[in-house]
Amino acid sequence: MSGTNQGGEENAPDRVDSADDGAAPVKNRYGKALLLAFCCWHAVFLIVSIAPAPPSRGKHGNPVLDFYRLLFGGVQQWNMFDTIPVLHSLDVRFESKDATGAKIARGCVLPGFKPYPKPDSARYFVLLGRMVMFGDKGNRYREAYLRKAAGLLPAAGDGESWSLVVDEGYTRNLFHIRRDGHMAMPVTHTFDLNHPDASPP
Amino acid sequence: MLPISRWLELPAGLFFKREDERIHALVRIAFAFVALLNLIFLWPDRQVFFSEAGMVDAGAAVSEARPFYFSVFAFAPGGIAVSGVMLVTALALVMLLLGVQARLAALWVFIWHLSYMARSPLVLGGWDLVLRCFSFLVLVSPLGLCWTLPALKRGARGMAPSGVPRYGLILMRLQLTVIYWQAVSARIFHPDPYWKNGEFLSYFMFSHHARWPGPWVLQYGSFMVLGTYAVQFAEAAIPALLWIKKTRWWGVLMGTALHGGICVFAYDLGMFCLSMMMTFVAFLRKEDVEGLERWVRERRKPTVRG
Repeated sequence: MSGTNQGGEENAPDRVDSADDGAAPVKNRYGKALLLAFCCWHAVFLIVSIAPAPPSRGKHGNPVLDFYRLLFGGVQQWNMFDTIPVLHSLDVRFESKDATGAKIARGCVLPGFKPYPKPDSARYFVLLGRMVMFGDKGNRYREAYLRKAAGLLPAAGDGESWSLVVDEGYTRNLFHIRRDGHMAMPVTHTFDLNHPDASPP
Repeated sequence: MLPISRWLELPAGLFFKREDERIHALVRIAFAFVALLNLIFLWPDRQVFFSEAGMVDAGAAVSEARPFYFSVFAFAPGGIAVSGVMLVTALALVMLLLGVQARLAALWVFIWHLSYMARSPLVLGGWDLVLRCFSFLVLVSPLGLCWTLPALKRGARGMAPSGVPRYGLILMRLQLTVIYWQAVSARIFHPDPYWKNGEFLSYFMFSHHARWPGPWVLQYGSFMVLGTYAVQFAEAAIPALLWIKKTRWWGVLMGTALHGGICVFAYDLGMFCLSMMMTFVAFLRKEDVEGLERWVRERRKPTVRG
């Protein structure tokens, strides 16, 4: 396992400078034994991972395996195409009314209340989608985000408060799209910033 | 009963058989390039995703982490510190690309992947998980020192390739197999009606992922059904084709067609395409890298003469 030419390369001269560290991370006998043990373990870990993960994984898994996954193995949950993508569009913004009763809006991206990027950026989409739509998983993130935004937004008009408005468009059944040409059904969720810990409507 | 050394011959032969180190070099270069691109695309949104002024609360990330929270952003919460961490990572990735202090650079790159994924788990795409798995495997593998800047400076003797143990390549190949076959097995064990009836691609083309969503999709219903089944076949076939020496290029071709197709028809999923194509490099063989080296040498000849 040294850095010199030890096999398979008959025409290639040995690299004389063997002070490099790149041939392999371990060079002695015990290191090799450990490396072999690790390779066998990791290979088994990967092969077992081909079976789909139970739905509960990540919540209360085996602590030793969770530790291994976190540091070395990775989560090993590969959906490839996520679940069936039924979401056609997403738009998120903060809304309220000013002193004259006129509607005012701010973008949802912190810092700076920049608008939700259009066309959809994959990262912004999954961030807001997971934060807003995934009840349990996004709860703490959503609450913290709404509290932070509430502290930064300017005062609204008398008796008015800011809300996070989420416009989603859900792809309709292909049969119905074929019939009238409308691709999506709009659904709007509103989160009141005065009650950031409330359940999503 | 066989002595333990005999039992160990099989795994030792599998993992420690020697392979041309230029394959490791190509994996290192391809991984560093794609990870650097990922970092560059993350740069404009660094304050949004990683700083305390952004959208992802650090306290929530700590409380949701299982079994514990590990991120250098715990020590670098502010905007300038976040930029600093990313600049150091960019330097480490360039060093890994060039093979300068490659092991140290690979260690930092691994820490970077753990850190940003822990700090902002809600923004992750599939390609982040691929890069994170490969950052670990690159760290523990031979790094292919024959194709590095220091080797280039040493001249012909420095660039002479060695035979190095192939355990890193075997684990990378297994990792790619898991990525595809877990998706396939998930559909077998938990059947999804859209994949089963062939409507998946139609819905995908109407989704926010789609580059050109519109009623035009309905005119190609049969094609979409065929495409849905073709995708499932490709996911099952690509790892098998890649593992077999004779068919590896068919696997590369099929994988490139699959991920290239996703890249064309889906918006903002180019990094996933690149990350998956990076993993194919681990399936190259000695004759492939020899051919590549010969091709580069022939291209360089006129320039050298000129």
